[in-house]
Amino acid sequence: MFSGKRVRQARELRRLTQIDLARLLGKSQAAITHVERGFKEPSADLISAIAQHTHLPVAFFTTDPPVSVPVEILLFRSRAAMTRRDALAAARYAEIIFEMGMNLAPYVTQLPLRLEKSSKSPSEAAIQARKWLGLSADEPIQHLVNSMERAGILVFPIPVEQDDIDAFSTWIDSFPVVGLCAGRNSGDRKRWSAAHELGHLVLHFNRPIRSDEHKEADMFAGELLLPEKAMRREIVAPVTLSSLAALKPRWGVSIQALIYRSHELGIIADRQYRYLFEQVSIRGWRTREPSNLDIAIEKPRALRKIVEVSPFANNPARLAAELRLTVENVKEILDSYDVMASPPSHGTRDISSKVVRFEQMKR
Amino acid sequence: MDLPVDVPTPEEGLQKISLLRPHLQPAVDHAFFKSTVYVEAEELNCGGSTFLTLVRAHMKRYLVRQNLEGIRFKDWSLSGIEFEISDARFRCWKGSENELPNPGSSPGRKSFLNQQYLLPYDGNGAPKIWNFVVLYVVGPQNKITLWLVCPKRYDEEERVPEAWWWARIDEPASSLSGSTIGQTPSGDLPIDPVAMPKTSEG
Repeated sequence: MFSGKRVRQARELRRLTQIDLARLLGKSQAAITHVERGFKEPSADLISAIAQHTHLPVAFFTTDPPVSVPVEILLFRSRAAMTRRDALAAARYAEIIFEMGMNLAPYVTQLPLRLEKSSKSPSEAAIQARKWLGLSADEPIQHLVNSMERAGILVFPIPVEQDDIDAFSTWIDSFPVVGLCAGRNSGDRKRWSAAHELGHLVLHFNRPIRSDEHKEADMFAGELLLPEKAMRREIVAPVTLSSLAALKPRWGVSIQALIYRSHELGIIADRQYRYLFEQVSIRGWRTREPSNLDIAIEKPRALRKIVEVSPFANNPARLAAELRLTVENVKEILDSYDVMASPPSHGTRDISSKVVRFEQMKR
Repeated sequence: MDLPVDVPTPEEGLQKISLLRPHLQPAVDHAFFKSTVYVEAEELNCGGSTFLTLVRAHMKRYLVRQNLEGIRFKDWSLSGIEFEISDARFRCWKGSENELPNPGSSPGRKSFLNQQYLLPYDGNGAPKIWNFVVLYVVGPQNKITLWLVCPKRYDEEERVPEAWWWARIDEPASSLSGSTIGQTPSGDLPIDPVAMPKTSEG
């Protein structure tokens, strides 16, 4: 069997237009359209050439993609208007990662999904989200990505080295998915992005969102990462840049986020808000806060852990074959995940009835 | 520069003020903010010296309210800031880069710059108490930098204050320790293998 849908998926994953791919293959754009739409069965040589130019194995093209992520419903946090090509690549990457999880799901226990959708206000939803994530009401979140994964959210890094894209989120059927871009952005910005996307998952459900809903996601992120109760306790007059800077390592957010949050909660007035941002600017902290206060970049762990406890842990070739990817594809994906120092556990565990399993997604 | 053996080094000077050092930058930043807000709110068209008096008043209040043990503030008119820590005396002055403010005709300022005192002496004429200046320099866009300066003397002929050394008082944020937030979590995710049915291949 040959899947034209896979050609389109692979092409968009590699950020190629039909014209780009046609040029690489020495074919017409119409020929690529026909192949992708399944009008024409390509020759073995053409399949091989497509595989070569998209850096995927021929086996990848032998089945239809099990899931499809419509790019229109991806909820992006980005600095500037991102291109459709960027968005498509991110969506296709999400599909590949999700498929990897599905294929390996039968071999491992699953993390129970503890996230729900909410119609409450952003702040109220964030308070509820802390409970879902098993976090205390007013203490700093030590590792947000880890907490999200424990709550059953599929978090994955997207190997996009662009600073103007931060993250995106979507629900793939009943699974919440968050992609974090691997640009040079700081650890605190990535944490805020993860919290922002969590807000979209909880508040806005798989539909194109309005611009004001990004503000709601930020309000959610503010309450999640910097709970009002704790902020009123810890940010006390006289508020200075130094006093806020001292809170950065404790709460894992930027100094600018602390200024913003102080203003949002009315702890500081408009004039002081402006003054503090002026002080941030003249110190050059708008673009780079003091390096000694850098927050570590949180990496997801789940997919790598799944591989580590699967029967393919010590057999990369068999793993790649199972996933219909190349060994290099798999290595590239897994390298962006966290590696734990502790050895993987080997016991099995009971799975509660609440657990949603990847294999349920298989069609 | 080699210092005479009895002159404290910059490191020793900064050590003497270590307790107060984290509070100096926020104090002066806060004082400028409070003074600015006041002047704006009252629509005052006050001169520089009046504004600086306000700054000193707010700065002193901020520092005094820290209730730091072992620091003795003096009460001066016009909100002058002077304090003693152990065997050192400090005055907070506004200045410019690489230049101590000229004492003008003030005998008190001249004697401070000359490291002179009435009391106490150690019998050899060398002072037991050293004078230091905490200098705040207001740069472009009101960026304030702080220096600790050890005055040497006031050259009456050239009318130039001289210093043994200048040491930068760093932004407190630059000496804060790093964060453990976001580092590898202590516990791994509870994902385990599922017991698979045995096949003929074993």
